[in-house]
Amino acid sequence: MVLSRRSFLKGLALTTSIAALSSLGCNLLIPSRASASIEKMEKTTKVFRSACAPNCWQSCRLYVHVFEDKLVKTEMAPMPNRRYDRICLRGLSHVQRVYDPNRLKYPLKRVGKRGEGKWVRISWDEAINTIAQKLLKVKEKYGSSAVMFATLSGNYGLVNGSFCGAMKLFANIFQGTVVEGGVDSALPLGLSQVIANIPGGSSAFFGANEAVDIADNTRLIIMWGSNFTESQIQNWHFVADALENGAKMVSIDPRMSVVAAKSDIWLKPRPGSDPALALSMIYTILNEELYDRKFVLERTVAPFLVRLDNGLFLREKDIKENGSNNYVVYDEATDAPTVFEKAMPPALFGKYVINGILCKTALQLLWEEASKYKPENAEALTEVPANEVQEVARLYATRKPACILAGFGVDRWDNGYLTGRALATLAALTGNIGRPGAMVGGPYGGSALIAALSESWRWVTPSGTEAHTLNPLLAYDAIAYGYVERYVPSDPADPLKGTISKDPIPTPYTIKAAVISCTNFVNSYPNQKWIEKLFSEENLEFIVVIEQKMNDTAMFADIVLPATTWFENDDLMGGLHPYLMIQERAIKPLYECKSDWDIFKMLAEKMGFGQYFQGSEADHRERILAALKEVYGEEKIKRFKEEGVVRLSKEPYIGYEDGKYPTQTGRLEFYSERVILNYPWAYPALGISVTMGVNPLPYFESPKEAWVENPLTKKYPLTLIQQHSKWRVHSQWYEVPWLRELDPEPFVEMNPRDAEARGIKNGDVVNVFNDRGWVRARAKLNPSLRPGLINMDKGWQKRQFAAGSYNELTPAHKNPITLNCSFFDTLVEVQKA
Amino acid sequence: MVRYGLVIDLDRCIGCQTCAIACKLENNVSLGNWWNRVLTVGGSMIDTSSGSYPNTSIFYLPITCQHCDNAPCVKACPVSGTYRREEDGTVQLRIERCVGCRYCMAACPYGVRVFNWAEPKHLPEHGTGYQGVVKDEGWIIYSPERPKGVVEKCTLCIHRITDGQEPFCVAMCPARARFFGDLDDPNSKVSKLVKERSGVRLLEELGTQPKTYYLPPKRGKQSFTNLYEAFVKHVESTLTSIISTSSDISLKAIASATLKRVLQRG
Ligand code: SF4
Ligand code: SF4
Ligand code: SF4
Ligand code: SF4
Repeated sequence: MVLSRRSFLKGLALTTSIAALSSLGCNLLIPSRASASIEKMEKTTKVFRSACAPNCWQSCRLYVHVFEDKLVKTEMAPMPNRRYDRICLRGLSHVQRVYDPNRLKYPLKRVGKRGEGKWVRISWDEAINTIAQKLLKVKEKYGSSAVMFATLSGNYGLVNGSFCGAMKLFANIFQGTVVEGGVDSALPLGLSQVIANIPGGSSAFFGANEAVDIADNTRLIIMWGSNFTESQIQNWHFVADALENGAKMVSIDPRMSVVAAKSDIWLKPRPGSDPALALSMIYTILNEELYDRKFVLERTVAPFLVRLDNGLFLREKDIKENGSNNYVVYDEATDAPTVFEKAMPPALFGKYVINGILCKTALQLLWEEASKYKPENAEALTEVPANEVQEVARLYATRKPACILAGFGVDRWDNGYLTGRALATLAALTGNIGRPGAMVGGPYGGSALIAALSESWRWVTPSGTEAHTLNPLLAYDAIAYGYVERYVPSDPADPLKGTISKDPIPTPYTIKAAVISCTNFVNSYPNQKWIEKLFSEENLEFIVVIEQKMNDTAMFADIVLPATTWFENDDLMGGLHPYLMIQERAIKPLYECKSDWDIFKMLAEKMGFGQYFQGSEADHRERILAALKEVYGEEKIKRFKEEGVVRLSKEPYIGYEDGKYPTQTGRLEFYSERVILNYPWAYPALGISVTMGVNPLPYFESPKEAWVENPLTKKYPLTLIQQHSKWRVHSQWYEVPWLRELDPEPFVEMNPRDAEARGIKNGDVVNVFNDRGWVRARAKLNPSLRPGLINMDKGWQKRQFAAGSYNELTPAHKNPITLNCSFFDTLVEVQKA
Repeated sequence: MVRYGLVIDLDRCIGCQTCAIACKLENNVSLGNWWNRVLTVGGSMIDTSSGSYPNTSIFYLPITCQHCDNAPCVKACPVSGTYRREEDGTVQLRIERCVGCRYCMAACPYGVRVFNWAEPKHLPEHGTGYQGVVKDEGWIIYSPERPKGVVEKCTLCIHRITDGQEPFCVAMCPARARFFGDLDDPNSKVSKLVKERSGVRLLEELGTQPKTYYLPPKRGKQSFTNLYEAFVKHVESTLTSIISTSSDISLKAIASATLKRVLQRG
């Protein structure tokens, strides 16, 4: 706690009427004189240090003001580098979440049918006893892995939160199945394929430059599918600074977003055509020889020869007896193949027959692939005029350093990973990576969250045992059918050896119970009706949900446990910025709410492994700090303890500035020998060998569902996207009065032309439907939306709609490479209700 | 003299509403009331554009009390409730003096005053924000508790600026789009911005001498005509509701006159 400047002023409670107020004398409230005539009477407030912990990624440091044991205010707190000071409308409305009258206050037991919403209050004792019993029963009957521990990103706290908090500890000890992920991972996987294909699947996304670098060094910003001013309110000022410093901005978005409106150039591709658009930029850059020749030679696989018979890189041993494993290039000076180091200079393009093996350079292969998407031809796919693509490609290659800030607009598609590959390839060709002002992905380099998570193995497996992990889309199948289709490593000890097959293999997997915390699973994953079926009594014998509110997921619980808010916990967290921040308990837990730490501690004690949950949250925080001290040193942890905030990474953080890329070749691989996978999660990442016929290049594949050529467009001609609006973070803040005054109800946002064609007027109640489900809400006409594209903001709960729910409409389609939910790859029709 | 004012950069502003919520939080503004609003300059609903795809336009206009040097609200107040502070140029309201006649609301051409029709309601019930009372020459000009039947508005965070702090909405704006300072000091950031970026004021032609300057957007294809349309629509609805809901003839007359001036812009 830090004392507020005025906290030495001892005050009395505020009186309740103006009459009483005016009768107050100076003897009641201690006055201070600020100017000749101004006099103030202030109260003692305590100020605690905390941080806002949802998955908006911005992780704002907060000061929390408490008056008479009540939270009265949260505000932006200073970061060590003040340029990182940040807050948003949600971070300022915490008081309304903490004191939400609809908060869950006591443990509840279901009395009606599952999902019906009939409850009775029970004691914590009864709750913990029942849960322990049920979990043991399921374990005896089906094995411990039949209990899924579902979490996602609802809390960034390291003690109580999603990523390595109490539930993970418990799941690891219990050896259950952790179900998480399946979102935000297609685009990152594609980027990683090129930039960092050795570490776990999606790592490259978090390895770019830190955000402040945009402001100081960037000359061109391409917002690619990023609704930046809405979804990254807290990083916008860096972009605004860059623009004031003379940078140019391009937006690539089918929707005229606010950031598109502020851009110098706006490209409006057909939704889902992004890989084709990027490929035509790649083509333009190669065709007009705008690539950075030096960078391409020194840092990418461009000159490496690729064997056309098996897709692998040609090695010295392939052409020379007792040759090394070194990669072979074609030396233009001697007109002969040689290992890379010796070539002066190696050929970048060409087709060669070497020892009877037909080979092409990697760049040649890229060129051939990109040539299928010459701007004038790709226009048929993207609807972006050729000259506009060329203009942006030229700018990107010449106005350096440039960054591509890709949002998850392109991630929510079946082909999202191909966009990622193509964007990273653009950066590789132009050298727009690894230097100040240049990056691809998001500005999250040097993140304290990632830094802490990479050390979490030090505290998250206290018993030495580990939980199994399952992707949520696979968990759907495990629950419904008792099996999952997954890739099997040929050598589990060495994921680099690859998978045993090109396609995933059906494997039995049983899930019979669910423990859910820090995720609104039922609301936030696709095909909600299907999830509701999965959560029925035939499929899951027991469901526990730890929640603050009776949301769509808690509705399906057998037992609901009331969770504390962040301000009732002792914790610490890192953000997708460089700072580790303390979360001090500012107020005591309200009602009978408990933190995740306390809940799993009680459960562990009941089940006989309480020794792994020693002490309080604050004690566990100390253990985490001790572990971090081993990596980051005494000095940083000391500073953290004093100031409640510390930077863990180097400053400034420029991702890959050493020119080393954690790929198999150590170079940027727009061509690779393996296609990496998100699941099963492995370190190093598991991949499918190109010898099995997978294509590691950036290429175009049409979206699975929402695409012109799909005959389903006749029945369902509209594509539905889900904006991540400023009003919520996923589904958090869904019932905050101040926000609801401005954004009172869910809307179906559509272009007036689409509305007119259906006889719909602004404010009309409409039904949105497809074969999976439907939802009813009011229409909001907005010409920002491209005709054919409609939007429903993410995060509303089912009961906030007139009927149905928006995620009833979305497909739970599985792309085996990414296993990422394709929320936007959704076709619907809209009718007046 | 010190003349405090605000400068808002419309290129940096992204309509995030953080300043609007900040004001509610800090000043314990009742549910349903807003001292500080962010208008969408675009379509008819919040966060929508004008025009037709792909030629659309959207930007935002935050408005709160403009702390006019020649404030019509001050002149309209029959009981010297609302007044201009000579020390800093802010326009304040002596809560205890307010008789709830709403003449100031009707006279304000910016639609920024609100009236407590009922007892203010808060969530949390214990209230939020600054925990103190501010008096000017003995009169309460800020209290977190304000009764039914009084008018209220932005104080320019008088409790903060008299402590050398920025107004809360300025300090919290994540975009760094809001600036606060002394417009009489040619070396202040605000004065420099107004000069360098040709800051403009709303309804300057009315002679109200407002102290909120807007740095006009250079990005996008917005025009100030759009800006005025959205703004005037807001003022019109505020004044029309006064005219249509009141039986006080003088109040209606003041509101009608104000509306006429706003619509004619002169
Ligand atoms: S919701 Fe995100 S941006 Fe807003 S205050 Fe919290 S962490 Fe910051
Ligand atoms: S907080 Fe700043 S950016 Fe957000 S609406 Fe207000 S002025 Fe604009
Ligand atoms: S904006 Fe309205 S309320 Fe504020 S000083 Fe001017 S006239 Fe008065
Ligand atoms: S200056 Fe203070 S009172 Fe005025 S709008 Fe800003 S936050 Fe509200």
